Amino acid sequence: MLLYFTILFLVVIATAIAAIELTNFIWVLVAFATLLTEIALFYFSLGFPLLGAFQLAIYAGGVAILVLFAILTIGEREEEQRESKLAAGVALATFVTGVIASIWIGIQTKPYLEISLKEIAQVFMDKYALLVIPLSFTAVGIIYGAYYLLTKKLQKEE
Amino acid sequence: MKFTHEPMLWFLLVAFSLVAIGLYGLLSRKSLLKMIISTEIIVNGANVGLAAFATQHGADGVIIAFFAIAIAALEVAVGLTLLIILVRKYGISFPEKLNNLRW
Repeated sequence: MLLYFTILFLVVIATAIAAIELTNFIWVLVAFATLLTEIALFYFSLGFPLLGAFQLAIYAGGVAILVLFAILTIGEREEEQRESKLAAGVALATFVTGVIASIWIGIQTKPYLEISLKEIAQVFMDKYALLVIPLSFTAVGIIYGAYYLLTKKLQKEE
Repeated sequence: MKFTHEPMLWFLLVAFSLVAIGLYGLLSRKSLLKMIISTEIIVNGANVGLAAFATQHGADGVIIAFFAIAIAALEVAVGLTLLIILVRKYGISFPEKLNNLRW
Protein backbone atom coordinates (compact mmCIF):
# COMPACT_ATOMS: atom_id res chain seq x y z
CA MET A 1 0.00 0.00 0.00
CA LEU A 2 2.94 2.31 0.68
CA LEU A 3 4.10 1.77 -2.91
CA TYR A 4 0.63 2.62 -4.24
CA PHE A 5 0.52 5.79 -2.16
CA THR A 6 4.07 6.75 -3.19
CA ILE A 7 3.24 6.39 -6.89
CA LEU A 8 0.05 8.45 -6.47
CA PHE A 9 1.92 11.09 -4.46
CA LEU A 10 4.74 11.40 -6.99
CA VAL A 11 2.35 11.63 -9.94
CA VAL A 12 0.25 14.28 -8.16
CA ILE A 13 3.28 16.42 -7.26
CA ALA A 14 4.90 15.98 -10.69
CA THR A 15 1.72 16.93 -12.58
CA ALA A 16 1.09 19.91 -10.27
CA ILE A 17 4.60 21.23 -10.89
CA ALA A 18 4.24 20.53 -14.63
CA ALA A 19 0.93 22.44 -14.72
CA ILE A 20 2.72 25.47 -13.26
CA GLU A 21 6.04 25.22 -15.06
CA LEU A 22 5.20 24.13 -18.62
CA THR A 23 4.90 26.96 -21.10
CA ASN A 24 2.69 25.42 -23.78
CA PHE A 25 -0.93 25.78 -22.65
CA ILE A 26 -2.12 22.51 -24.16
CA TRP A 27 0.50 20.58 -22.17
CA VAL A 28 -0.46 22.60 -19.10
CA LEU A 29 -4.04 21.40 -19.59
CA VAL A 30 -2.91 17.77 -19.99
CA ALA A 31 -0.92 17.97 -16.74
CA PHE A 32 -3.82 19.69 -14.95
CA ALA A 33 -6.37 17.08 -16.09
CA THR A 34 -4.03 14.27 -14.99
CA LEU A 35 -3.64 15.95 -11.59
CA LEU A 36 -7.42 16.20 -11.14
CA THR A 37 -7.88 12.54 -12.10
CA GLU A 38 -5.19 11.42 -9.66
CA ILE A 39 -6.85 13.38 -6.86
CA ALA A 40 -10.10 11.56 -7.67
CA LEU A 41 -8.12 8.32 -7.19
CA PHE A 42 -7.15 9.58 -3.73
CA TYR A 43 -10.82 10.06 -2.88
CA PHE A 44 -11.71 6.58 -4.14
CA SER A 45 -8.88 5.08 -2.11
CA LEU A 46 -9.92 6.94 1.03
CA GLY A 47 -13.37 5.35 0.76
CA PHE A 48 -15.36 8.27 -0.67
CA PRO A 49 -16.51 7.04 -4.09
CA LEU A 50 -19.19 9.72 -4.45
CA LEU A 51 -16.67 12.49 -3.86
CA GLY A 52 -14.32 10.84 -6.38
CA ALA A 53 -17.11 10.63 -8.96
CA PHE A 54 -17.99 14.29 -8.29
CA GLN A 55 -14.34 15.25 -8.76
CA LEU A 56 -14.13 13.31 -12.02
CA ALA A 57 -17.38 14.71 -13.39
CA ILE A 58 -16.98 18.35 -12.38
CA TYR A 59 -13.23 18.91 -12.30
CA ALA A 60 -11.67 16.39 -14.66
CA GLY A 61 -14.69 16.66 -16.95
CA GLY A 62 -16.25 20.10 -16.76
CA VAL A 63 -13.42 22.36 -15.62
CA ALA A 64 -10.83 20.74 -17.91
CA ILE A 65 -13.14 21.19 -20.91
CA LEU A 66 -13.80 24.81 -19.92
CA VAL A 67 -10.05 25.45 -19.75
CA LEU A 68 -9.63 23.72 -23.13
CA PHE A 69 -12.24 26.00 -24.70
CA ALA A 70 -10.57 29.04 -23.15
CA ILE A 71 -7.21 27.97 -24.60
CA LEU A 72 -8.77 27.40 -28.02
CA THR A 73 -10.44 30.82 -27.84
CA ILE A 74 -7.40 32.84 -26.82
CA GLY A 75 -5.10 30.78 -28.99
CA GLU A 76 -2.40 28.31 -28.06
CA ARG A 77 0.58 30.40 -26.97
CA GLU A 78 3.85 30.04 -25.18
CA GLU A 79 4.21 31.94 -21.96
CA GLU A 80 7.48 33.58 -21.04
CA GLN A 81 9.07 32.25 -17.88
CA ARG A 82 9.59 34.46 -14.86
CA GLU A 83 11.44 33.60 -11.67
CA SER A 84 10.23 35.01 -8.38
CA LYS A 85 12.24 34.55 -5.20
CA LEU A 86 9.41 35.98 -3.09
CA ALA A 87 6.93 33.43 -4.47
CA ALA A 88 9.39 30.60 -3.92
CA GLY A 89 9.99 31.82 -0.34
CA VAL A 90 6.27 32.03 0.44
CA ALA A 91 5.66 28.57 -1.05
CA LEU A 92 8.59 27.09 0.89
CA ALA A 93 7.41 28.69 4.13
CA THR A 94 3.90 27.32 3.53
CA PHE A 95 5.28 23.87 2.84
CA VAL A 96 7.51 23.82 5.94
CA THR A 97 4.62 25.06 8.12
CA GLY A 98 2.43 22.41 6.51
CA VAL A 99 4.95 19.65 7.24
CA ILE A 100 5.17 20.71 10.89
CA ALA A 101 1.36 20.95 11.16
CA SER A 102 0.98 17.56 9.43
CA ILE A 103 3.36 15.92 11.89
CA TRP A 104 1.59 17.65 14.79
CA ILE A 105 -1.92 16.69 13.67
CA GLY A 106 -1.43 13.51 11.71
CA ILE A 107 1.09 11.51 13.70
CA GLN A 108 -1.64 9.74 15.67
CA THR A 109 -4.15 8.16 13.36
CA LYS A 110 -7.18 6.32 14.59
CA PRO A 111 -8.60 3.50 12.45
CA TYR A 112 -10.51 5.00 9.52
CA LEU A 113 -14.24 5.55 9.96
CA GLU A 114 -16.48 3.64 7.58
CA ILE A 115 -18.66 6.43 6.20
CA SER A 116 -21.54 5.20 4.09
CA LEU A 117 -23.49 7.25 1.57
CA LYS A 118 -26.50 7.02 3.90
CA GLU A 119 -24.49 8.59 6.71
CA ILE A 120 -23.25 11.40 4.44
CA ALA A 121 -26.84 12.09 3.34
CA GLN A 122 -28.03 12.09 6.96
CA VAL A 123 -25.34 14.54 8.13
CA PHE A 124 -26.10 16.72 5.11
CA MET A 125 -29.81 16.88 5.89
CA ASP A 126 -29.22 17.45 9.61
CA LYS A 127 -26.54 20.13 9.43
CA TYR A 128 -26.02 21.55 5.97
CA ALA A 129 -29.37 21.53 4.15
CA LEU A 130 -30.05 25.21 4.89
CA LEU A 131 -26.60 26.17 3.64
CA VAL A 132 -27.74 25.19 0.16
CA ILE A 133 -30.00 28.28 -0.01
CA PRO A 134 -27.30 30.97 0.34
CA LEU A 135 -24.97 28.89 -1.81
CA SER A 136 -27.60 28.70 -4.53
CA PHE A 137 -27.98 32.49 -4.46
CA THR A 138 -24.19 32.79 -4.66
CA ALA A 139 -24.12 30.42 -7.62
CA VAL A 140 -26.89 32.31 -9.44
CA GLY A 141 -25.04 35.58 -8.78
CA ILE A 142 -21.80 34.16 -10.15
CA ILE A 143 -23.45 32.76 -13.28
CA TYR A 144 -25.35 36.01 -13.89
CA GLY A 145 -22.13 37.99 -13.37
CA ALA A 146 -20.30 35.91 -15.99
CA TYR A 147 -23.23 36.21 -18.42
CA TYR A 148 -23.42 39.98 -17.87
CA LEU A 149 -19.69 40.45 -18.48
CA LEU A 150 -19.75 38.37 -21.63
CA THR A 151 -22.87 39.97 -23.16
CA LYS A 152 -21.64 43.49 -22.32
CA LYS A 153 -18.37 42.69 -24.05
CA LEU A 154 -20.16 41.25 -27.10
CA GLN A 155 -22.44 44.32 -27.34
CA LYS A 156 -19.38 46.60 -27.31
CA GLU A 157 -17.77 44.55 -30.07
CA GLU A 158 -20.89 44.92 -32.25
CA MET B 1 -7.18 -0.35 -3.60
CA LYS B 2 -8.47 1.19 -0.43
CA PHE B 3 -6.58 2.85 2.39
CA THR B 4 -7.71 1.55 5.78
CA HIS B 5 -5.21 2.53 8.47
CA GLU B 6 -2.50 4.57 6.75
CA PRO B 7 -1.20 7.58 8.75
CA MET B 8 -3.15 10.74 8.09
CA LEU B 9 0.24 12.46 7.94
CA TRP B 10 0.66 11.19 4.36
CA PHE B 11 -2.52 12.80 3.09
CA LEU B 12 -1.86 16.05 4.91
CA LEU B 13 1.56 16.15 3.24
CA VAL B 14 -0.12 15.78 -0.16
CA ALA B 15 -2.55 18.55 0.76
CA PHE B 16 0.13 20.98 1.94
CA SER B 17 2.39 20.19 -1.03
CA LEU B 18 -0.45 21.06 -3.41
CA VAL B 19 -1.20 24.28 -1.52
CA ALA B 20 2.49 25.28 -1.62
CA ILE B 21 2.82 24.54 -5.35
CA GLY B 22 -0.40 26.44 -6.07
CA LEU B 23 0.77 29.43 -4.04
CA TYR B 24 4.04 29.48 -5.93
CA GLY B 25 2.20 29.46 -9.25
CA LEU B 26 -0.27 32.13 -8.13
CA LEU B 27 2.48 34.51 -7.01
CA SER B 28 5.03 33.94 -9.75
CA ARG B 29 3.13 33.50 -13.05
CA LYS B 30 2.09 36.30 -15.34
CA SER B 31 -0.75 34.74 -17.31
CA LEU B 32 -4.25 34.66 -15.85
CA LEU B 33 -4.77 31.08 -17.07
CA LYS B 34 -1.85 29.90 -14.92
CA MET B 35 -3.25 31.91 -12.00
CA ILE B 36 -6.65 30.23 -12.34
CA ILE B 37 -5.04 26.80 -12.56
CA SER B 38 -2.91 27.59 -9.50
CA THR B 39 -6.03 28.60 -7.56
CA GLU B 40 -7.64 25.31 -8.53
CA ILE B 41 -4.58 23.41 -7.32
CA ILE B 42 -4.85 25.18 -3.94
CA VAL B 43 -8.58 24.33 -3.70
CA ASN B 44 -7.82 20.69 -4.56
CA GLY B 45 -5.14 20.58 -1.86
CA ALA B 46 -7.66 21.85 0.67
CA ASN B 47 -10.19 19.24 -0.50
CA VAL B 48 -7.68 16.40 -0.04
CA GLY B 49 -7.09 17.67 3.51
CA LEU B 50 -10.84 17.76 4.18
CA ALA B 51 -11.28 14.20 2.88
CA ALA B 52 -8.38 13.04 5.08
CA PHE B 53 -10.00 14.65 8.13
CA ALA B 54 -13.30 13.01 7.25
CA THR B 55 -11.72 9.57 7.76
CA GLN B 56 -11.05 10.55 11.39
CA HIS B 57 -13.86 12.89 12.38
CA GLY B 58 -16.95 11.95 10.38
CA ALA B 59 -18.77 12.95 7.22
CA ASP B 60 -18.63 16.74 7.62
CA GLY B 61 -15.33 17.06 5.74
CA VAL B 62 -16.73 15.25 2.70
CA ILE B 63 -19.83 17.46 2.57
CA ILE B 64 -17.74 20.65 2.79
CA ALA B 65 -15.51 19.25 0.01
CA PHE B 66 -18.67 18.79 -2.13
CA PHE B 67 -19.60 22.42 -1.61
CA ALA B 68 -16.03 23.54 -2.34
CA ILE B 69 -15.95 21.62 -5.63
CA ALA B 70 -19.29 23.07 -6.74
CA ILE B 71 -18.30 26.66 -5.97
CA ALA B 72 -14.80 26.18 -7.47
CA ALA B 73 -16.36 25.07 -10.76
CA LEU B 74 -18.39 28.29 -10.88
CA GLU B 75 -15.31 30.31 -10.01
CA VAL B 76 -13.46 28.77 -12.96
CA ALA B 77 -16.34 29.65 -15.28
CA VAL B 78 -16.21 33.32 -14.24
CA GLY B 79 -12.40 33.38 -14.24
CA LEU B 80 -12.23 32.03 -17.78
CA THR B 81 -14.88 34.51 -18.96
CA LEU B 82 -12.77 37.35 -17.56
CA LEU B 83 -9.67 35.77 -19.10
CA ILE B 84 -11.17 35.71 -22.60
CA ILE B 85 -12.43 39.29 -22.32
CA LEU B 86 -9.16 40.65 -20.93
CA VAL B 87 -6.90 38.72 -23.32
CA ARG B 88 -8.82 40.17 -26.27
CA LYS B 89 -8.41 43.65 -24.81
CA TYR B 90 -4.86 43.62 -23.45
CA GLY B 91 -3.03 40.57 -24.84
CA ILE B 92 -1.77 37.49 -23.03
CA SER B 93 0.40 39.09 -20.35
CA PHE B 94 -2.18 41.65 -19.26
CA PRO B 95 -2.09 41.39 -15.42
CA GLU B 96 0.73 43.93 -15.37
CA LYS B 97 -1.37 46.31 -17.48
CA LEU B 98 -4.35 46.15 -15.13
CA ASN B 99 -3.51 49.11 -12.94
CA ASN B 100 -6.68 51.21 -13.14
CA LEU B 101 -7.49 50.60 -9.49
CA ARG B 102 -4.03 51.54 -8.21
CA TRP B 103 -3.79 54.62 -6.04
